[in-house]
Amino acid sequence: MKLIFFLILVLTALSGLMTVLTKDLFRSALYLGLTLFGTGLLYLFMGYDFVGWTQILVYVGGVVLLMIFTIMLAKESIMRPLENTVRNPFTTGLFALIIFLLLLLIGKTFYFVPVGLEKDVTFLPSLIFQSKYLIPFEILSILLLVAFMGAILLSKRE
Amino acid sequence: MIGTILLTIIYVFVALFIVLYITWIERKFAARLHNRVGPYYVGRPHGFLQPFADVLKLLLKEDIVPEQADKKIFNIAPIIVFVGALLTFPVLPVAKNIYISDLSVGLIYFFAVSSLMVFGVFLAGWASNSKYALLSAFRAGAQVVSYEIPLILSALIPVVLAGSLRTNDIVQAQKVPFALYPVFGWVAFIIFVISGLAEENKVPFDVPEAESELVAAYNVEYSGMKFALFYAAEYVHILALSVLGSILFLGGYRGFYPTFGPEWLYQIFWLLFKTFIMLILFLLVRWSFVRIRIDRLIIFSWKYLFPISLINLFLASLWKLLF
Repeated sequence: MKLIFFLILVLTALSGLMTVLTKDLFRSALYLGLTLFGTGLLYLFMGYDFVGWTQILVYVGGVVLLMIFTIMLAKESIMRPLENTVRNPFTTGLFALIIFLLLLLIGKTFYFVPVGLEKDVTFLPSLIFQSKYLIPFEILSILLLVAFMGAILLSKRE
Repeated sequence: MIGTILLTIIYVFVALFIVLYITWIERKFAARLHNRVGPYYVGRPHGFLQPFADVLKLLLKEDIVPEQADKKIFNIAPIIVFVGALLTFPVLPVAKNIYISDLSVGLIYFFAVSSLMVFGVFLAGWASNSKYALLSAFRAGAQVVSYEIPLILSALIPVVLAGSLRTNDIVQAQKVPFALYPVFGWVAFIIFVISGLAEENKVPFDVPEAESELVAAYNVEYSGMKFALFYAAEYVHILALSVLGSILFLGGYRGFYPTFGPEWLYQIFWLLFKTFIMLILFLLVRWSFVRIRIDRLIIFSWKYLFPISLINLFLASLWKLLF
């Protein structure tokens, strides 16, 4: 089990790296999908079933798919191999290091707080479906949808 | 552990066997509707062995990879589609105590895994480096993304009424055998069947395949076993959706049975019976309608099915809260 966890960890990290390094835009999107899939699997290993599968459903099946769709619809010019645009490797590296250390700090501070109730995998679905939160939840999603439609309408020409 | 592995192997083999015979049933069924005879010679008198002959033929075909194709992605795509289709089965219980995994988020798992199939279709269309395949993948993507929303929203009705995402709980919540839920359930069932058909790229929603304009589908460039994987994945997914539909709306393995004999045997019989009804429903629609134009197809999903299923879900949750 430990070995599988480690393999998924390596796969996720590698595909995350490849997302940035690959020259092909389409491949880059694919690696991003793999990274998000791996993240979902990591959630599953921690016992958060709901979060893990929702991550895979929403990100791999939705967001990355839409990205690929956009890339396929784009003009020919966007499909040329990407150039390496890093001009100042030193500054970039420094910023990356600072962000990494910051994340490490946040992780050290908040990660080991006992989570208790939220680890219960049936908690979130029953919170949504068996309580008074259901209707506010739905109204909220409709609100988001209306905002989405408005954005499409505004960005339309003519 | 060993029991689960054995059960998984049995699941896979039974599913693939049923899928083989769905193709035979479909050919016979279509032939009868067209006033033809259908497969006849292999396994006389009714062509019982035709599926095996088909598999053998596909196995013996030459495997062609186009020169200009993106070979790695080209080879991975059919595997992703097939595995995605097959992975949907673990959460589908065939009897009260026979299931591979009793996941507490079973339905989300089902849809998450089947969304991998669309991913594979996109990869196939892109990697083939053919305009027909690419256009077909576009259409398939647009169609599946639009129809997935009504499909999931209608599948949420039993979830809301049963108060659980676990497939076994949903079956248990349906007290009377064969009973659909009140009006919401009927509406949801109809939407589920329509969007299920669209999800499969089947007639009347088969614009991605459109033989007359796009040659065949995103799998034009594929031959031999890789083509067979796409073909099989489609039928495996139809089977999975039929089982899911009978679990969500028709009461799953519940039914009338005598008190003697093993209970699970009757339950498996009822589940297969209901699945068969769903399959025949899919086939009947498939072979009696004509193809819809692509813009009307998308409009049908977004302007009619989506609002109806949204209102339906809203009313169902209101009903659940009040009573």
